[in-house]
Amino acid sequence: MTAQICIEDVTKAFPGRNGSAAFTALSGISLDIPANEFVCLLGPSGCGKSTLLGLVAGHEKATSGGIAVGGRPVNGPAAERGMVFQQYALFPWYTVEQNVRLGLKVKGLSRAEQAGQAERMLRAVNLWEHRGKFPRELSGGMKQRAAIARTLAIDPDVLLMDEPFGALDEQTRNRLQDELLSIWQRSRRTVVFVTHSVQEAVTLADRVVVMGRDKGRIVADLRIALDRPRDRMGAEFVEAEREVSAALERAEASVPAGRAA
Amino acid sequence: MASHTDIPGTGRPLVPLARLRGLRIPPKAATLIAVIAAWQALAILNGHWQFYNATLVPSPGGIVAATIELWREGTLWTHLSASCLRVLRGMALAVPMAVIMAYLVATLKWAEIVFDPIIEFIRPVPSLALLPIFIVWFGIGELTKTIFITYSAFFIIFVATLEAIRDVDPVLRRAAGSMGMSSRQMAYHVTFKSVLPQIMVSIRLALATSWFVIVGAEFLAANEGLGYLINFSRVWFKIDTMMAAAAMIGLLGLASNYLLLALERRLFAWRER
Ligand SMILES: Nc1ncnc2c1ncn2[C@@H]1O[C@H](COP(=O)(O)OP(=O)(O)OP(=O)(O)O)[C@@H](O)[C@H]1O
Ligand SMILES: [Mg+2]
Repeated sequence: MTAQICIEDVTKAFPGRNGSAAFTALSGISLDIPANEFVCLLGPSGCGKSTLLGLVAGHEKATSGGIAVGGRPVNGPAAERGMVFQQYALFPWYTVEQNVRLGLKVKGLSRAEQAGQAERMLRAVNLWEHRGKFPRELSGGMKQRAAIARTLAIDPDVLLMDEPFGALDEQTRNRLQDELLSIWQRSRRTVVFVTHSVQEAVTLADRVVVMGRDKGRIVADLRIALDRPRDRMGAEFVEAEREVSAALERAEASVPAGRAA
Repeated sequence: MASHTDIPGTGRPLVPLARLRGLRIPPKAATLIAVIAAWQALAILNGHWQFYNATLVPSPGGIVAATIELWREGTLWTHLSASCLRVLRGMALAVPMAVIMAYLVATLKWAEIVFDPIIEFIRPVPSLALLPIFIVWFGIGELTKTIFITYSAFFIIFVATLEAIRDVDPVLRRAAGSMGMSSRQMAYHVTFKSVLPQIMVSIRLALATSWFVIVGAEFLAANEGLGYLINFSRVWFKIDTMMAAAAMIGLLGLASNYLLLALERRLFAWRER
């Protein structure tokens, strides 16, 4: 059985500026993610999480190694691999509803289908009353929900999320985590979710993958086998957090990436 | 303060006062009116004491009289429409050419290699310096004047659009790719939508330049138009008519500017300003 996402011995080097030596951000990364699994990617800042996500999304090309999603090698972005960006990336010239409908229009849905699907998604993230607003008129949390609705509406096989809740306060963050989980439980799909928060990872993930400073080397691959909904105060939850934190500490201690051996 | 003025004892607002407030003149128009009024006052004083030659510097009233005279003769419309049509024709060609060329140079490597150096070589040459050459090549007809305006406007729009395309947020392109957009869909929903405000600003600038240079072209090669009118009136020493034509150009420039500004405000309600 092949996994939904196969990352095999991937290396990513960014060419140096004006002939300076290339910078190796990722080296020898291998990771298999089965269908419908919710994976959280954790690691110190600059370890290559966004770079890896960008490779899976097809925004960048791997220097060597291969990535396949759904059995097909990735070359270039596609609607089957939806992405939610940390910077929201909403189109400022379209209203919330137009942003959500655009992906459906691109997908070739009829006007009626577009309207129905957009309404369902906007109601799911509590933005239906704000559908006529432009992104600049939204708060950070609303922008994030709009971005999630836009990506989920397309119904991608794989959902890539880069610190989507990073800029939010704790209440909003917790609520959005719950909303995301309930949407995910209703229609399962593969999720790769980058975060800096141990609590967020333990709340959401089936599996937590921790990357180290050393060219993104995977230092830990932990299974979170707690039942949902999870009690953020429960003893098992706290125990899982402790385990992930310990792995993160090991990741912090590993050798920095790049030119250093 | 005035809005709180009530008819004593009734709480109803004083209607006449409210109406007066509704009629308030915009401050920018007031500036123009004040300048013209001061000029007219000076001219009236000069009528008594003669401290300058009134033939050389006509009063606003004299300029309005000259305009009415032109209108009665029936030539005002001829000159006005001739200049307007030239500017509009030139712009109508320049805008799509500049936008398409900028898109090609921004997106296709070979287009950049072929066109960019040529455009950057021609760009610094003032259009008025090329006008005599255009006249030799294309004659003194409308074609020359259209090409001349197109040439003058093209570079302004081209440079602004090219810079704007290069500034499009790469994250939006990535988002569009992950939504499954083709490069044609991306060109419209991301690139075009994103650069439209800068295109509009550059059109405004190019239009101002067009009014500026059309007069020069009409000095050299025209039998009608506001530039022709100025040059022709000089021969007959009709300074009030010259000033009437100049004021007309000023008004046209001002009107087109505010018209486009109003359009921009309507089109770009999504912008944070
Ligand atoms: N376009 C690029 N050109 C050169 N180097 C890059 C580029 N993008 C990323 N890098 C480098 O690759 C490394 C990994 O960056 P990446 O953005 O993937 O980190 P990250 O794990 O997402 O960090 P954070 O948690 O802070 O978002 C960094 O050292 C960064 O400097
Ligand atoms: Mg990152």
